[in-house]
Order: sequence, then C-alpha cells, then structure tokens
Amino acid sequence: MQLIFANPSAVWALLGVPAVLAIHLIQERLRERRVSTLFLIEKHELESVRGGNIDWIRNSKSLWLQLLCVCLLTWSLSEPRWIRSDSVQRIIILLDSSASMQAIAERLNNKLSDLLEHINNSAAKTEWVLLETNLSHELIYKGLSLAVLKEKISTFQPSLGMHNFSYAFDYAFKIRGESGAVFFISDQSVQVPSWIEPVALGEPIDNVGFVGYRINNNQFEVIVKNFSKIAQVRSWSIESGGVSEVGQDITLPAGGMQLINGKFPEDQQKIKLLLNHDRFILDDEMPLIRTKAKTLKVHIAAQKGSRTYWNKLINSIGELQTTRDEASSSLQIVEFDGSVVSDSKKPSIGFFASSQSGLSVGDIPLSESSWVQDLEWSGFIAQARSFALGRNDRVLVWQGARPLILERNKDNLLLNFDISTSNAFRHPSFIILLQRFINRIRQHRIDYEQRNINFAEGLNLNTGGDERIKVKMHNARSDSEEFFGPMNFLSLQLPVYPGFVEVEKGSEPLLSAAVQFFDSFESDFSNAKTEINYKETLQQLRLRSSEEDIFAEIALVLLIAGMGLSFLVAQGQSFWRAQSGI
Amino acid sequence: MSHDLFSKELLEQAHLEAERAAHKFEICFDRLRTGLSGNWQAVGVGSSIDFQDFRPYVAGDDLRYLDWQAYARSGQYIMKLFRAEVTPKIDLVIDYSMSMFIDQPKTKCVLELLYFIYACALKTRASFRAYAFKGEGIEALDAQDLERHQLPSLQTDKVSSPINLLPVNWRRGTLRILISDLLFAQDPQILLKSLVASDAKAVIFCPASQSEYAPDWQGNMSLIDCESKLRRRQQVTSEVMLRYQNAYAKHFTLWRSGCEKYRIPFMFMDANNQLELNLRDGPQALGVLRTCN
Repeated sequence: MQLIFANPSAVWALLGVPAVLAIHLIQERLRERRVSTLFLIEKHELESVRGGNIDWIRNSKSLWLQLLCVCLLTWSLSEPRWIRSDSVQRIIILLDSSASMQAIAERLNNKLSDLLEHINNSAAKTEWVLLETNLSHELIYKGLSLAVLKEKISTFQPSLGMHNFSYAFDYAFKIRGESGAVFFISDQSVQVPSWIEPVALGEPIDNVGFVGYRINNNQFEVIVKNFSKIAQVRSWSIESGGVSEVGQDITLPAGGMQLINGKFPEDQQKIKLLLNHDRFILDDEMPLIRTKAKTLKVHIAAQKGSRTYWNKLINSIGELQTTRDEASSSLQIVEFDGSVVSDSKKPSIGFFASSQSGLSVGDIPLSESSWVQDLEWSGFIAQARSFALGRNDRVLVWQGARPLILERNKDNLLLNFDISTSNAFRHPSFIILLQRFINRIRQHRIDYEQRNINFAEGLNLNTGGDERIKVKMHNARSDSEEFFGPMNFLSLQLPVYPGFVEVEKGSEPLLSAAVQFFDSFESDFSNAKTEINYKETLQQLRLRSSEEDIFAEIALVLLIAGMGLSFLVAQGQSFWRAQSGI
Repeated sequence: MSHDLFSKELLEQAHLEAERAAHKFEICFDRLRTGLSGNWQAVGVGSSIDFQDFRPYVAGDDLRYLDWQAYARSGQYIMKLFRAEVTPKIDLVIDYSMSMFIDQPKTKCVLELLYFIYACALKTRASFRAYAFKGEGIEALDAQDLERHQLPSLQTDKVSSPINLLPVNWRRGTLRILISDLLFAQDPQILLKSLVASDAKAVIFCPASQSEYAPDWQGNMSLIDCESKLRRRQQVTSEVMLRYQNAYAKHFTLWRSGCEKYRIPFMFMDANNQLELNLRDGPQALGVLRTCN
C-alpha cells in the first residue's frame, strides 16, 4: 500500500531535531575546572587528552527519547494515510483548444507532468480521460496509462479561436462520475464551475503577428500588430516561387499596427509573408494567394430596358461574365413574360418588368429567411404581385401578405414585383441579396477557384461526386497528400499551421487555397498567466482514496509516554547526581 | 613566573584566626616523643628538669610520670609535669605547590595552619623554623616575614615535583610538622621515612578542598591541571565520578597506612571547616593538640 501524508507541511516539525540537539549541545558545553587531582583521573584513561575523540553530544537516554518524541510528533501531525489497494479514481483532463495554447506546448508537457504524477499517486488506479474543448474532435484518450496520456498531451494541436467552453464543461461533468475530478488546462485564468479545478499554465509573451490582409487584383496589404506592452522590432520577408526577399525592419510601438503592402510577382499566384519568429509562431506567417472566384457565365433573357440594369449589376459584381449562349451559361436572368413565371432548369433570377412608368409603393418588406434576415428593407419601393406559392417555394422577403422575393428549388430566385417600377437596383439590401444568391450559385458550381481561408473555417468544397478527390497540403512543418473517394461535398479540418492547400478532382484542379491564421484574441497574450492551485482538489482525491494510519494514533500515545519518560529520566539523573555527592 | 596569591588582608586574617585558635589549643609536646628523653611539655621554657605541676591523666600519657601517691590519696590518675630538658623545637615544612592554594578556602586553611603552628611555637617559646618546599628546592621562611605578613610568592610556571625532604636541614630532636595536601603520585614510604629519620617525631597536616574530595564535575569537562596547565577533556558520568572518588580514597588510604607504620599522626583538614573545628576533630582527637586551661 502506498503511503501519503494528508498534511505534508508537518515535516517542518522535524526542525525539532536540530532544536533538541542544540539544547543538548548547549547543555553539554565544555566546562572548565582547575584541578589538583588530575593524576588520579589519568590513571583510568577514560578519555584521551590528545586525538580527535570529540564528542559534543552526550549520548544520553533523554536525548534519544526527545528525538523519538520529535519523530512521533512529526508522524502524527503529518496525518499519514495509506492508499487503499482497491481505490479507483476517474480524472478528466480538459485541454483548452484555443490556438494560443500552442505557445505553451513545452510548459504544458513539463508543468502538467508533475500534476499528473501527483494525481496518479492519489489512488491505486487512475482512469484518465483526455479531451479538449473543441467537442467536434473525438475524445483524445481514455485509459489507465499515464505514459500514454502524457504522450497524447505532447502531440496536442489546439487550433480554435475564441470559443465557448461551457459545452465542454457540461460534457466533462457528465462523464466525471462520483469519484472523479476535472482539471481544466488553459493558458489564462478562466471562470469555471466550482467542480472544475482550473490550471493556468500561460505566461505573457511579447507577441507580434499578422492580423489581417486585403487583396485587390495583384496588390496586397497585410496588417502587422504588436500585442505586447513594449515596443518591438521585427524583420520580415516575402517568399514566392522559392525566392525570398527581405524587407525593411519594422518597429511597432506597444499595441501598435503597421501596414505592409506590395504586389504579387507577375508570374506568381502565391506568396508568403514571414515575420521573424517569436514564441507564438502561428501568426508569424501569412500565405496569400491571388483571389480567383469561380466565374459564372450569365445569360440575360430580358428586354433592352431591363438588360441595361442587369448588365450594370453584373459588372459591379466580380467574376460574372455575360454570355449570349444560354447553353453554356451558369446563371440565367429571365424576364417573365406577362404574369407567367417560367421554370428554369438552371440557376436563375426571374423578374417581372412592365412598361408602366412611375414607382409603385407597397408595404415595407420583411425578411423571412435566415440568410437574408439581417437585411433592412426600409426605403425599398416595390409592389408585390399576387402570387400562388408552389410546394418548392420559400419566401425570402414578404410584403404584407404577398411574397416579394422568393426562392424556388433553392437555385431559382423569383422577384415577384415589377422591377421597372421599383428602386431595387438602387437599394443596398436588394443588391446584397442578389450578391449572396449569386455567391451561393457560385459555391455550388464545380469549377476551379483560388481563395484565402482562415484555417479555423476548415475546408468546405462542392466536389461533384463523380471522381476521386486528391487533397495536397503543405506548410513549413509538413507536406501531405490525401485521397478521398467520389463525394458531393468535401469538408476537412485544415492543419493548424499556415500553408497552402490544393484540391484536385481526378486530374482537374478544383481549388488552390492559402490557409492563414489570424485571430487577435488568440494572438494577445497579455492576459496569459500561470495559476496552479490544485492542492485542495488533490487533497480531496487522496482522502477519498485512502484510509488513516492506525499507528498515527498510537504515535500520539507513545509521544506522551515518551515525553513523560524523558522527564523522569532527566529527574533521575539529577537524583543520582545528588546521591553521589556531586 | 611568580604569583602573588596572598594578599596582606588574607594573611592578616589567617594570622588572627590562628592566634585565636592558639589561645584555645596547644601542641602536646609531651606526648609527641623525641628521641632523647622525657616528655615535652607545653608550658614555658627552661633548661632544667623541674617538677612543675599536676594535671589529670589523659589516655596516652606516659605512665612513668603518673603520680602514684596522688592516686593513692585520691584514687585519681594525676600526671606530674616537668620542665622540658631541652627547648621545644619545631621544624615546619609547608608544601608550596599550586595545589595547596587551588582555591580560596584551601588557601585560607593552609595559611591558618601555618600561622597556628607559628603561634603555638611562640606561645611555648619553642624554637621555630619553617621552610617552603617550592618545586625543586627549599626556601626558608623568615619569622619576621611571617610577622610582617609577607610570604614568598608562588612559582606558577614550574611543575612541582613530589616533596623531597632531603634538602631540609632538620635539627635534632625537633617536632617535624609537614603541611601538605600530598597530591602527587609518590610512594608514601619515601617521604615518611625521611620525615622520621633520626628517630624524629613528625606530624602531617593535610589540608583538602571540597573541589578535591567531592568535585562538582559533570558531563563534558575540561580539566586543567593547576600546576602543569595540562588540559584534559573528560566526559564525567556517575561511573567516572565513583571511580575518581575511590581513587582519591585509596590514595589517602596509602598515606594513612604509611603514617600509621611510622607512627606519624595524619590529620585531614577540611578547608570548608573553621580552623578550630578542624583542630578539634583532627589533631586534638589524635592527641597532637590539647585545649588550653
């Protein structure tokens, strides 16, 4: 059985040992006497005058009794307990999945190791459950092996931005059980429920990183921010096509930001900006790719008057091309003839237009659907026509009791008003609605595109479902290639490191993306701190898994007896001395 | 290196105490036989044999001088006192080693004894000579120095050897008095034999301090010899103390036995006691002294 001490600070009571020795040393200090009868003592030769026979402490019974009393007192005060051989505890280690945890990977291993050892020694058996606050990930580990647990922790790759921990707390509570405890490991001090033991292992870091970008054709702008409380100097460089170009050093005041702008090289689609690394490296690299959305070919089947407005709109939205060839178009804009709403097999926007002049004012429209709910329609002038909704119709915007804008079969947008008598093309919400619709169409379209992705978003792509998919990922840490069977939609977790991703369908490229990390909250380490205060929880675990040492009670009795005996021995020595005439 | 242990006040005090005692006690010269004739008596001085006085018989008196006629008349034993045939003589040797003056009580005891013998000698008009045995040699003590309370200083840088009485110029027929604590490792026979050489009568006064016969040693002690300055670290337990006391007792048992053999009265003088008490318990009990009427 393993021995533990409920009150280990009682070891300070062992200071009584040097105290007792000091008392006896002081008592037994050499006393000098001038004598005339030394020759009578020398005859016995009990002690040598010369030589190293120094004996400062007299080997007396009371000395040993007092030392024993000190040991017994220490034993009793330390509250020794024996871990029961049948004791089992369940320990949940909940890791914060925030990306900022990457900065403390080494501290996590070192500092946690001690904690885990202490916990492991609190019971005969410990069932470990390791999970993270990103509940979309599976349980990392469940088992009895501390070594495996430590290994899993060492390979932990947190990748989320700011997120809500409460779901993870609730889940941990459910799996904790009665004899368990939950330890939440983070880099900041976090408010947790009372049944969770928070362990903060962070520390403030002078972090400088990329926090945003903008790409306009071949121009790029990147923002660098200093999150620390003191001015920082960083050097930066651009890599493209295997060539690295060093830029001028930048000096950022505390909390300051700076813009770095430039151009993509003529023959390069991708570049990577790098800052010299600090302790948080995720935001020290910014891969960028020239944005190239999927091009939509738009066929406009409308009268001349209406066509003008639509051409204007198409020109204002990027990556749209008008075409006269209906067959090759991806999106049709169809003017309904009279009151007939014709169905289109392709994604389409259908509208009414009449030659009537003047604006028709109806009730203020109201957004219905979730993807347009944030749009504000005050000032929108239009008059909804009467309309019989079909089974596959979903109203996006109502005007009174009449559907104003609706979608049919998800790919068809119907504008149930006379566009020529409305101010639709001048109203921002309408334009935004159209843009969103067109983007949805574009998203569903299987075509090559280039885009920049924040890795927390993950990779989500329509793939068509008829050919094998190949995904290539490369960054400064690793290169990987993965194959997937035919599927309609690809959804992947991106590696927790800035880099590039390429997706191919069969032999056709489908997507080239730059995967970036920028999250101001995660990059700011000013609130990171270390707070380790699990002793009370540990104590409770130990008490639960152990039983009192019987001898501790006996030790108290022996202690009192020992003290009494020591007193008697000392008194006896005085008596004997008196008897011998000294 | 000399050491002036004796302050004038101490000597004066000792002299005063000794004279007070000398009023009460006298040396029994008559009992302390010389090698020539007759008894010593303690009264007056003279140069003829005269009947002088009677006194009651005391155990130990020479029966030749019993007044049988007085016994026949009174039934009591009466002694006849005669004047001394020769002048009483006292040769005193005082052990002048540092151990004799180890502490104040013993120093006082030694000085009182010295002055007592001197006072007794003066009282009986005995011829008095005194010598100090100092280390390697003998130094005569001048009576005038005694009167003036000026005693020779002690030599503290020399280790005293056991008393050697050979250099002493003993007079014939003297009462030889030795004042010494006898704390040295020596066969008693050597000294005692020389003390009673030429059929002399001797007396030994042995002053002793409580720090010698019942020392307060306990535990870790550093014992420094008062003469050699030798240090000895000694762990003193009850067993060690017992062995020491046995050794001490055994040491003086040897001296007592030797003194008995040579019929030398040996008087142990406890420095803790008053002079009169010491004289009463020791010398008077042994018949060396008697009280004055």
